[in-house]
Amino acid sequence: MTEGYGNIDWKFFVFFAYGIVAVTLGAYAIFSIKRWESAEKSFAEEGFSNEELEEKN
Amino acid sequence: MKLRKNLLALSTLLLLGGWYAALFMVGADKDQGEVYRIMFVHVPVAWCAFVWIITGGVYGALALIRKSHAQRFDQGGQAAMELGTLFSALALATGMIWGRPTWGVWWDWDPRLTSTLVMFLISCGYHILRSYTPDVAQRRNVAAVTAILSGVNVPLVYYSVNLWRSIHQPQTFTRSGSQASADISATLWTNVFLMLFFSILVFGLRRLSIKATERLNAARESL
Repeated sequence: MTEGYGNIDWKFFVFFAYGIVAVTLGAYAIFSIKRWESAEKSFAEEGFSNEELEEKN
Repeated sequence: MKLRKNLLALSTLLLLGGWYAALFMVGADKDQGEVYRIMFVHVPVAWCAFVWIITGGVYGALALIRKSHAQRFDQGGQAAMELGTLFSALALATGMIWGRPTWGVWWDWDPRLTSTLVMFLISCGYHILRSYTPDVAQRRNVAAVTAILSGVNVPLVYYSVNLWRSIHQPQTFTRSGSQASADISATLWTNVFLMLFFSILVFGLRRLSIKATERLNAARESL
């Protein structure tokens, strides 16, 4: 029935949809990893330890 | 850390394999032609939106019931609701891209589309409320109640095509059987499970990043 819309080929719609999902999920996964690594690195670099933190709490 | 990254890389490759099958291996639909291939990404993201928003609601309920573990449940709830919001936005976006060539419009105030938009907006409200509530205990309670509200809305979104007259197609897979051919069903289910597997790994990473950030902030405040 539908192979596109007007002069726009069906491939535009299909690859646009997959592209949006790939970019968004990829960016979110990378963001999660970077935030985790950054927080762990700062915790170690600033000289904190889990034991010390538990004692204070 | 390395194991999680490797698993995420593996799940990404598997997901790309599933997309390859959806784009280049399955035949065209006799009614919709080639545009229907969007369904192989639209349905998995919509299902993931349901799963993660319900998960956020469950974490919210647990945070309210089991106060001794409220911090842990709150961290899980935040990660789940972030994924729920992201997948809701993607379900709306991919649905709109499919709607334009198929229905001739990007958007229609149809029950399924409107209830999905409401689901997305409630989950956005969750993050806004979190950001604007400075007190930790109050933030956990407000977030938990909003997450529960968001989770309760999910069945309404799912059954909206049955409850009201809708231009959105009804459920393809029902208890009485499938309305799709075997190859389409197999590709669709494979993509649903692969997307879910990928999202579970991302959820784990995000939950750990929230936990690490909260621990760092607590250590800085204790100085």
